[in-house]
This record gives sequence, C-alpha cells and structure tokens, in this order.
Amino acid sequence: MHSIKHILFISIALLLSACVEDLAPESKDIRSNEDFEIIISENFNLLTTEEVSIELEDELANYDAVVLYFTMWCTTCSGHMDEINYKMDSYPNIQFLMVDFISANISQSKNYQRDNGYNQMTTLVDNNDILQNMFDGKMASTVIINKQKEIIFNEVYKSRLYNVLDNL
Amino acid sequence: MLPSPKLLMNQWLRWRTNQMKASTIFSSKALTLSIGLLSSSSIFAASCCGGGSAGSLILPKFGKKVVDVSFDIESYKGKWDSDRKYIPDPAADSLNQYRLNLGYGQRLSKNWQAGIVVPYVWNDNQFSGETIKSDGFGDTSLSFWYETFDRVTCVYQVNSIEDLKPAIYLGGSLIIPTGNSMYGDNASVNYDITGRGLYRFDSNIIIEKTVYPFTATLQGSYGKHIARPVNQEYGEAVEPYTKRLGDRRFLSASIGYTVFLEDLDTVTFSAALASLKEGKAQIGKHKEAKSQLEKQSASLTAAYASPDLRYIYKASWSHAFASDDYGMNFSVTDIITLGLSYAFD
Repeated sequence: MHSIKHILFISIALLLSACVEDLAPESKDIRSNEDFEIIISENFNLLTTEEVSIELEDELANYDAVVLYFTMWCTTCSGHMDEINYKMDSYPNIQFLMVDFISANISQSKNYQRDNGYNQMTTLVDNNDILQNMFDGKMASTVIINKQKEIIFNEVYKSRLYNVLDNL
Repeated sequence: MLPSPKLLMNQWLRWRTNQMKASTIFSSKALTLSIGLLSSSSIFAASCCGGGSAGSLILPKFGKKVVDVSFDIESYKGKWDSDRKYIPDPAADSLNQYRLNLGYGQRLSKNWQAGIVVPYVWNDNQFSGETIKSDGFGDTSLSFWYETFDRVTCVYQVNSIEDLKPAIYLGGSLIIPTGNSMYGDNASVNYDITGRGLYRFDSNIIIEKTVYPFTATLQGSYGKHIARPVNQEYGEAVEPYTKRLGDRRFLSASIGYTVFLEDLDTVTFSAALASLKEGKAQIGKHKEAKSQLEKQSASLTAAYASPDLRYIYKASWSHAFASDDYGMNFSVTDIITLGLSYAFD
C-alpha cells in the first residue's frame, strides 16, 4: 500500500506544480507598455439579428461610445446581459451592442436571442468571427470604443465598466 | 428463491455481531453508502462557464484507508436565468462534462480522518454545429472530519432513547484551485476552463441515523471563498483587481433503504433533495449584480456492498428540475455517477 501513497503524493505534487498561477495569485500589474498604447479600432460593419446593418463609424457619429459585449448565451452571459439591460437606459449616449460570436448564422442567433429573452437588445451576428478576431473576444469580453475610435476597455465584464463610462 | 428479508436480516445481524466481537472498531455500511453517495451527489455542477469540483470522501468507522474512484457524466439541459426562468438548450446543442474523481481517505485517529479528491475534467461541447473539447484537472478537495461518536450509532431496533442517538460528523474542506481558470496561465479561451480559480473553505456537518433497514441523513455546509488578486484574464494582462466569489450554502436531506442479499452483501437505495446557493461575487469592495447562483436538485442512488464491506459499487443519478423557480444563474444538468470504493488496512 506504500506504492499507492507514493503515487498519490507524486500526483499531487505534479498537479500543484502545474498550476502555480492560481495557487499563488499575484497582484502585480503585468501589463506591458504595449498594453497602455492607444489602439484605434478598425471600422466594422455587421448585420444584427434583425438584419439591420450596423457600422461602427455611424454609431460613433451618434453616440459618445460603443460598448460591445460578447455573448455565448450561457448562464454567466445572461447575468451580465440582464445587468446591461437594466443599466443601459441610464446611458442614453452610449450604444450597447451584444455580439453573438457562436451562432453560425442570423437565424440561429435570432433563435438564441428570442429563447433567452433578449429581443430588446441589439445583437450583432459575428458568424465570420470578424469582431472576435478584431478584439480577441471571449465569453463575456466587454469592449468600449470611444468617439475617437480608441479602445479604452477590453476585459471580461465587470461593474467597473460603468466607472469608465461615467468618466467619458 | 431468496429467503425472507427478516431471515436474511437476522443472519446478517448475527454475522455482524461476530464481526463486532472480532474488532474494536465496527463498520457502518449504511453510513458508508449513504454518505459516500450523498457526497458524490453533492458535487457542484460545473458549467461551461465554471469548473469542476468533487465532493468529500468519508471513511466508515471501521476503515483505516479507502480509495475511491468515480466517474461523472454531466449533461446540460438548459439554464435558469437571473429571473429564475428555465431556458432550455437548443435541441441541436449538446453540452457535456465528464469527470474522473480519484479519492483517498486516511484515518488519522479514532475519531479523526482526512481525505483528498482530485478530479480530471473533460469538456465536450457541441453547439452551433461546432464541436469543442478540452480537458484538465479540476479543483482539488482536501477534507478533515471529526466523528462526534465513539461507537457506531446504527441500530436494528430502538429500545431506548440512547438508540436514537445519531452519528454526527463535523468537518472542514479546502477547495484548492488546481483547475484551469480564466485567471490563470492555462486557459486562453473559455472552453479551457476546468476550475473556478479561488480557494474556498467549507464548514460541513453531517447528521445520520440508521435504524435498519432505514437511514436518514442531513448534510449542510457553509463555504467562504478566499479573495484573490487578478492580474490577467484568459492570459491577457488587465488592470489588477481583487475578486471574491460569494458565500456558498449547501443543504441536503436523504433517506435510504437497505436490502439484505443472500450472501450477506447488501444493496442500499437512497433518495435525496439538495439545495445549493452562492451569494454575489465581489470585485474590490463592489458586489457584482446578478452574480448569485442557486440550484435545487434531487438524486437517486443505489449501492452494492460486499459482505466484508471492503468493496462498494455505487451508481447515482442527480436530476435538476427543468422548470422555473428551481434555480438561478445556473446550468440545468443531470449527473450520472458510477463509482467504486475499496477500504483496506
């Protein structure tokens, strides 16, 4: 039975050594100078689930900023989208756009949107991964693009997003 | 043809009495079965947005060491949104998670024991016509338990108040974030996630009473996540912040019935109801809205124990109710668990 113990201890040691990042998390700011450089967003033009064409430059002509939220219609995304839906009325000068980056086509995206109860939220169908590649979008990625087309926020959704919007 | 249950039970009791005489510590089969299965059925359902974690492992009173291997098949049916409304997954989608849980328990003293469960997680998702698979270790669970009783409290009939005394276990579990979380180096996309990325300490209590052939069990736990600094998400550096997931409350009640077989081996059937709630996550000092979780589920289990109680084969089915109001911000899943425990000296 000693061999079982040894196997177990070795397994645990390997396991722990392979996952140092989460076991000893750091508060150090690891952003490089590149991360602080101002990145100008490319223009994009995508269809919504209502088959309306949305172009970034047009939106920025009418709003102070555009917020993109990458959804895959999961439980985490639903919680975030509910909060966005609740808050967006407080930001009439901000255009909030949901980005469906998993659906294969508009019809599928529309079904997800309807079934999840978000018909009222403008949803872009990123079935060709244009926005996903442009902003390195992942589940719950949230991007703020200001009027100068600068990407001023690109992180997983969190409430400090609204601090950034408040300071625009 | 099997002898009558009463005859079998008497045979088994005589055999068990001899076992008791032969050993200073006595076994509790029903305890082993119901708690083992309950622990298994209490596994927090990991989602494609979350991670995997395994329940605790508890040694029976007679056992000095135990190895436990179980395999979970978790299939996703949909989700509850933040308004507690059930939303089914599209029929064409297929989301599954498989977990191999390797556990080892060791008795430390007469009333103290410790255990570890290490899960390995496979995500197997198919949606929008795409198949996405990933795998990795889940979050490890380390547990310590104190048994408040010196002798097994299982009885065959109640003759006095003393016979009603339950077995009470008090324990603590540390969940170690050995899985791949969005905050670590090992997940570059959400599909890679197999763990939640935060330590959690649970205070646990199990109250169990067996009057053969019936067993009733109550299990509760209260967990506190430990805040952690975050400086990256999916491998991308972000402005550092501190994150803490909400406190977690788990409550489960189960009843079991043991059938005595001809060769003094047994099969125990049990049914349980469970409720899991997790409070709002916190970033810095700010509580994140709509981040609380809730899930209610029911489970059925069957377990076969060998006559010497060394081997236990178990199967369980945990079912989440695919209806409104049975959960919040949580995936609706069914979990089938198959497992084997081997106790040895």
